[in-house]
Amino acid sequence: MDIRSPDLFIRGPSPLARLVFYCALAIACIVVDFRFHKLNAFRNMVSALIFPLQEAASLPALLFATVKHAIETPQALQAQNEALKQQLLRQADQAQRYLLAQEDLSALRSLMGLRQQENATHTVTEIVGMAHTPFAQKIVISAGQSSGIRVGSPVISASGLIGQITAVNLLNSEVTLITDKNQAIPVMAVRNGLRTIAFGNGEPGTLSLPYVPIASDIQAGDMLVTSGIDGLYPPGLAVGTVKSVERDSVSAFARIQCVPTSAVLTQRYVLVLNVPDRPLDGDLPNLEQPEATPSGPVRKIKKP
Amino acid sequence: MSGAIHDSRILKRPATLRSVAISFLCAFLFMLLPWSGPWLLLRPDLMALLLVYWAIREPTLMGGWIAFGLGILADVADSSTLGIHALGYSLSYFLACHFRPRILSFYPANQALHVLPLIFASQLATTLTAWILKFPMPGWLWWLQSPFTALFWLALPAFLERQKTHNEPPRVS
Repeated sequence: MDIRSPDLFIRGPSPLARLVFYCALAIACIVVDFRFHKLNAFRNMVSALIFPLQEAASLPALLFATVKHAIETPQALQAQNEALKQQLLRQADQAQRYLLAQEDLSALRSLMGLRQQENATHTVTEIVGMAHTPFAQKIVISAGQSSGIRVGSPVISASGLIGQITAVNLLNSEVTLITDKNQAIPVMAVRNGLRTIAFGNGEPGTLSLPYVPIASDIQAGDMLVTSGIDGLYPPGLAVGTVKSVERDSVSAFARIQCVPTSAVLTQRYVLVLNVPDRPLDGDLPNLEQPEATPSGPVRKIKKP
Repeated sequence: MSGAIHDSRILKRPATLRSVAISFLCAFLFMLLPWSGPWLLLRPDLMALLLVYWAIREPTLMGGWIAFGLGILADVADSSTLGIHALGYSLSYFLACHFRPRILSFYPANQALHVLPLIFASQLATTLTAWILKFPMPGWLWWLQSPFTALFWLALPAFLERQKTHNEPPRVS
C-alpha cells in the first residue's frame, strides 16, 4: 500500500458536501419509491439487467437439487408416484362434485337475482426463492409482466392461500406472504360463518385475529377461509386453523393465534389467480348478509 | 508480518479497475445466493466491506457514485425500498474516506475493529430507515451481521492482494 501525499488542491466539493448530496439523493429515492411508487419502471430495468446474475447465483442450489433428484432411489419415486395418483383420484371425486355444486349455485344465484361469481383464470409458476430483505416476509416467483401477472393477485398453493403479488418485474414477481406484518386478509370461520380479519405477525407460521369480540363463538381447531368481502381474494381459499383462543376480561377482544394452512417453505409450485377487475373503493360486491366487520380498503387497517 | 492488510512496510501491486470490478461482481453474486431464514439475517454484507476496503486501499479509483450505485443494485436484488442500501453504503463509504489515514496506521485485527463501526453505520442507517417506514423488525441475529462481516476483513487480502515482486516495473502515477 502506498501512502500518497495529501492532496494540496481540493478539487470539487468537499467530502461532507458530497456525503450530504448522496444521502439526500438516497432519501429522495426512498420517499419517491415508498410513498409515490414512481420508480417501478427504473426498478424493472435494473431487475432485468441483473436477472442473468440472479440465474447464475441460483445455479449451485439447482445443481444440488438435480444431484439429489438423480440419486433418489426408483422405489422412493415409485412410492411418491403412487401417493400422488391416489391423491389425484380423491381430488377428482371432489372436483366433479364441485362442478355440480357450481352449477347449482349459479342457478340459485340467478333465481335470487344475486350477482354471479367471476371465475378466475390462473397461472402455474415456480417459487424461485425467498426475497432477501429481512424487513418483510416475501418470496419471489418465476412469472412476471411477460406472463401477464398483475399486482394484487392472490397466490395459492395446493393447501391454501400463500399471499398476494405486491411487485411485478419483467421476468419475476414478488409475493408478500400472508404472515407479513402488513398483510390483512378478510376471513370467515367455516364452522359458523363468523367473519373477521386475519393479520400476519411478521414471522413465519403464525397469524392472529385481533378483532374478535370475547363473546364470539370461536374455538381452537376452527378452519378459516377467505370471505371474499374485500373483492381482492376470491371467497373460500383456505387460510389457516385457529390454534389457541385466550379470553381476557380486561380486553374487549379475544387473543387468537392461528396457523397458516400452507407452509411456504415446503412448496415448489404455486398458482397465481388472475382475479378479474372489480371496483374496490366504495362499491363492494353485494353482500348477502349484514357485516360485523368493517369493510372498505381492508389492508389499511392498523392493528390496535 | 505476512498477510497484513494495508501494511505500509510491504509494497503491494496497485489494484486495477478490472480487479475492483471483479471483486464487486463476486460480492454481488454472493449476495444473490439463495439465502433464507437465519442465514439471511447473518449474510455478511461483502458489498459494504469491499466498499470500505477499496475506499481505503484505492481511493483514487472510487467515488461516491459507485457506493450509491451499488446500493441501488443491492436494493433491487434484495427487493427492498429503493435507496435504503444506497443510503447505508454512501454513509459507509464517506466514513471510510474520512478515517482512511487512521485505519491505515493499524494492524489487521485492529483495522477490523475500526471497520466494524463503518459497516455498522450502514446497517444502522438501513434498519433505522426500515423502522421509520414501519417495516417489521428482524430478530436479534440481525445485529450479528456487522461483526460477522467485519471478520471477513481478515480474509480479504488473501483474495485481493498480491505482494509486489522485484522484477516488476513500478507504476508511474
